[in-house]
Amino acid sequence: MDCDPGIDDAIAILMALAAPELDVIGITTVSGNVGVDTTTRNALSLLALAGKRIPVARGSDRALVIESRRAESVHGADGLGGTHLPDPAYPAEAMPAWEFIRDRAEHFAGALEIVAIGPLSNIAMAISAYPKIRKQIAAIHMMGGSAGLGNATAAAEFNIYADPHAAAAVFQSGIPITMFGLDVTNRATLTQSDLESLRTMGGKVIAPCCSMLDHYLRAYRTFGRDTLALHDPLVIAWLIDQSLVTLKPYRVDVETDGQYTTGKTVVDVHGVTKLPPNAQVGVELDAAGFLALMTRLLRSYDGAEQSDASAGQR
Amino acid sequence: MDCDPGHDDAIALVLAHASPEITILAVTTSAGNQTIDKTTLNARKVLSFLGSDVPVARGASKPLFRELITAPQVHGESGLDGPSLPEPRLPESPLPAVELAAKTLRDSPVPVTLVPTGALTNVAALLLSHPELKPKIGRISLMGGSAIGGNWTAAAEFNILVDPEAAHIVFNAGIPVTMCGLDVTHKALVTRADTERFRAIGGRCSTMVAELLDFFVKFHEANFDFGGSPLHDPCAVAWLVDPSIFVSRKAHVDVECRGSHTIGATVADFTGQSGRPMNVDVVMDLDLKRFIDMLDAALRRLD
Repeated sequence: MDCDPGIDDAIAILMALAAPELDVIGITTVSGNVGVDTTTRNALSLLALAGKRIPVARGSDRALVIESRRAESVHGADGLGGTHLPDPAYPAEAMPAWEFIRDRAEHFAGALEIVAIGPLSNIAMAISAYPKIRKQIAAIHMMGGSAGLGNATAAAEFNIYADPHAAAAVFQSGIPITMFGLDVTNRATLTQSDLESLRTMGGKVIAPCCSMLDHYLRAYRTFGRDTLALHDPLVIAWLIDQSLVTLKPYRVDVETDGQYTTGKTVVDVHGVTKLPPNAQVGVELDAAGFLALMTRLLRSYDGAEQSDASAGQR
Repeated sequence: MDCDPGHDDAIALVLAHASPEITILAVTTSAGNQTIDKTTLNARKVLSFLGSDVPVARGASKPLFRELITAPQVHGESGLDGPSLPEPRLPESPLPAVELAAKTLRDSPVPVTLVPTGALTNVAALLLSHPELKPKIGRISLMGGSAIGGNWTAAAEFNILVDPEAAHIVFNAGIPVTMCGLDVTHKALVTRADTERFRAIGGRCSTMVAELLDFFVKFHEANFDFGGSPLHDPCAVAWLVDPSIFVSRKAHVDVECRGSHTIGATVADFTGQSGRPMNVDVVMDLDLKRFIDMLDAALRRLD
């Protein structure tokens, strides 16, 4: 998992670590929602909360070409909305993220799948420095971009806007890409009422998640939205249950040179470029199924899965 | 009306001519769907066929800064392939487009609505050369752009792509704009059954429109999966005739003039995050049945 926790990243990581269907073999961190020192510490603290020991490699502290862009107004200065988590139980790896990605890609030759839920700087650095690993990465499943409107700007979604050149390199890489953009993630919503239901369940993981989501919902309200969007967790949910999101193959290019459109993912919905598709793009979502799966995974930390098996049945 | 007929431009002229709510004061032509020679001839042919005596003036032969892009694959070599229209009775105005438009605005006691259904080259040139006439322009109801997705590139709609700098000038002129872009025109779908309904009216105008549609649908059936053909340009007229059949949202719209993949994209900011004025009514949806009925009623009046 390559990530910048980040509140929705945190939920995604906790979901992935809880899922018996998934085998998380490492976490790489990147500057995005907040700086990389903070995202690295947050990743290690989330592992301490989950009681897991998985290597964490610190990644890029900046975008490849442009100045860094952050989202502290959404995630808080600490990236987790001021939520107190356990201290890290162990340090980050000595090797940087892009070396870790190369190492794991070669080790798992052909079987490594990367879940990329932050800016794509680390992955672009790894595939640029070590082009051979393009063939050894089975897939990149990303939260990023939009076939329609943006959120960081009118045209661009934050993760792509934060490092458009890295995103362009990844979309041009030939590695199979699954793109979960705002078209679907903006509909993976949680209302105040959903949040209260979650809080009522309680639990050692759900309680800090609710604290983070309280902050996140307040941030969304300042944008005039009354529900929050669980962008990154949707990628994890889909990995577990592929019926949750409908994908369509499209050609996607990333604008790096626009005056108003830099960071826009240009999705060729009508096939006018005549170029072959380079991504499977999420277009439809089972929002209720997503919420049920997320809830089940977060509850499982308290052993609730067995006692409430019906929550997992869809 | 500033247009580059063009099948859907021609139907827009038909609708405007047949609508009692609208008085066409002047028609100017633009290069886009075809070259300026062809679009000017086509505009004169259509208006002559309709029995109109409106002045028709030739516009710019190319975009402000770029080379011309045309669309023969959509509109044929003539720009209006399909029906065989007689040679035009209406002459070409001795005035060029910008001067006819300026004169029309100056002579009008009330604000005039501009209806551009092609590239915005002439309108931009008018606004640049005659800024004193801006108060005479009540609104610009245009076909062009889209909030989401393109039709000529993945990001850009054809009319804006042809002359993005002109579009930038028009959108930033401080004049209220109604943008009938692909968001609505890709829902303004005419089917083969609608074509037959128009043909069955049995008059000369309805037959001509049916023959235009016979040609127009071929391109869309071969290249898109809409279940019909989008009647882009008539939307900009229909919105003026009866805005109640449309749904629109306020936005600030910028036009991308740079970009490797996005030149000609209209970037719509619906939330105000750019902090710029909400200068455009972006038309997003329509009542398709009432739109087709409006065309049907217009053809019945003419015939």
